[in-house]
Amino acid sequence: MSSTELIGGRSVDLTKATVLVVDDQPVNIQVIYALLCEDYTVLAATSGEEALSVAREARPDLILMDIVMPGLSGMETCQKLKSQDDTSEIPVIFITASYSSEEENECWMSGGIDFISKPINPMTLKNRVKAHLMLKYQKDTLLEMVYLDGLTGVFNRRYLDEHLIKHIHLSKRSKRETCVLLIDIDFFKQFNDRYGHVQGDDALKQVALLVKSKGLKRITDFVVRYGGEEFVVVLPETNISGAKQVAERIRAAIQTLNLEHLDSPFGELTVSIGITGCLSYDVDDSAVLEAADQKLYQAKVSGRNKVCF
Amino acid sequence: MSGRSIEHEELANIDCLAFCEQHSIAWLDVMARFNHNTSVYKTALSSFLSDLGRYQTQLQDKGSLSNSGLFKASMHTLKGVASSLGFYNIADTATSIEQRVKHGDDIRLIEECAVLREQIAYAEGCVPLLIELIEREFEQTLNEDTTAGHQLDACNLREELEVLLKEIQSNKMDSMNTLNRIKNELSQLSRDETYKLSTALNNLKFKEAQEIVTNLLVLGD
Repeated sequence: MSSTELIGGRSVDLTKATVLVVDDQPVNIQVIYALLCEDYTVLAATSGEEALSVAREARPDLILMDIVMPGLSGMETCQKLKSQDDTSEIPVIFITASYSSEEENECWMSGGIDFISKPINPMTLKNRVKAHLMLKYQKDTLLEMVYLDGLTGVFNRRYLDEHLIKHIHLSKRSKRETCVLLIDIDFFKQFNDRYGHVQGDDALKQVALLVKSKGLKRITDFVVRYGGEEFVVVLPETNISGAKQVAERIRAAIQTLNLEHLDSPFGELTVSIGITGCLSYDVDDSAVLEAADQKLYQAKVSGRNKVCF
Repeated sequence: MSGRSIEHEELANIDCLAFCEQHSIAWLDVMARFNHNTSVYKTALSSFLSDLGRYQTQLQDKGSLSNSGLFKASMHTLKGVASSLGFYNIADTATSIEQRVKHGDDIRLIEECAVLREQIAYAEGCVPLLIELIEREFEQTLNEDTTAGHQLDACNLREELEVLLKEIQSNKMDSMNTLNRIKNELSQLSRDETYKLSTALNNLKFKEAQEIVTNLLVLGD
């Protein structure tokens, strides 16, 4: 059975998928490994506690979980996975040697999406794993389409609308600053007019890539295409001084791209950046973005290719 | 089956299928379940063999029945493992004992525990022979093939050890294959540490394995 599938005429390669198998008996994991090793990367954990740590670290695409284990049971482990933001979306299939409807109900309630009975029927295991990986792939693709900007590949405005407010709440609760950078490409209309939209789009892609590589150092940081030539970077648990360093790094990196811009006084593509922290404002994402916009305006009026905070 | 002793001599003119048929091990089911990967099945049999002693001790200890929760969980585990490895008679008896403990049916419990002890003792005799047969039937040619063109120098061994360390740090099951590939060369570096590493990985103790590989890397320097 191949792990490459066709969806709507498009070939989907699942060979990079990772499956975590959790069972206190190594023998049972070895059985599953023998069946799946040719098609996927198989990870193993012999306790619920170890599974939680591996899941957080490796973010597998699917978890196959035994129910009866010493320490954290399979159901308790599943509940914990579902309660944590970074692991809640990983589908869990229970592998069970019991057949009681009470236990089945408990599995559904703990967040499992399916069952496989022991002893394992190889065809059933392979097909269930493939079907759920395919569903996960489709869901991930859909989320990408909803949240990613088609041109630059960074997050879009919708993502910012849904996630900035969460970070403001977290920041208020923890009393640790979250900073927002608003980045605008200087004289971008003139760039498009002189060099055309194809080159303009290419410049946007290069800027997005650089902002991502120079601005994001931690898994919680994210960048958004906010408008035409505007980007927002959100830096949780970062104070103004740290954010200023990130912004300077981004500004300098974009200038060193040396993208010709003859209608700019700098002769090359540059950006202006406004910075604000969230703690000084109410729990209101519009107010925070408005404050960042004011700082950006200061950077613009004071000559552009600058960082203001 | 009971009462019949298993002689080493009977291996001389027999293959795995015939041996398993004689000793009620569901070879064909198992091969389908293990995707015909005899190497992984052999590893699983080794782990099973080391666990059988623990079950035997538990069944002999009358006190273990007083902790019904633990005893039931133990039978539940044995049922799953034995059934996965093709020892259906053990799996059936363990299932029956699990049910009797669950429903408090003590009348036939002692009798069934005695049957299970006998079945486990028999399996303890069969499993090493089956492992030997698998090695003879499936691994001889494979070893000849792999050792012929596969001699690692110290530099390559270090690289392979580093790959192994990364796999172990990520709890990857492929680490077992990597270890098998370099086992001979690694044994020359330290036989004891290689044995310990192999045992740790067979039991999927990744943290322990990580420490051993780190030691081996230092030894290699």
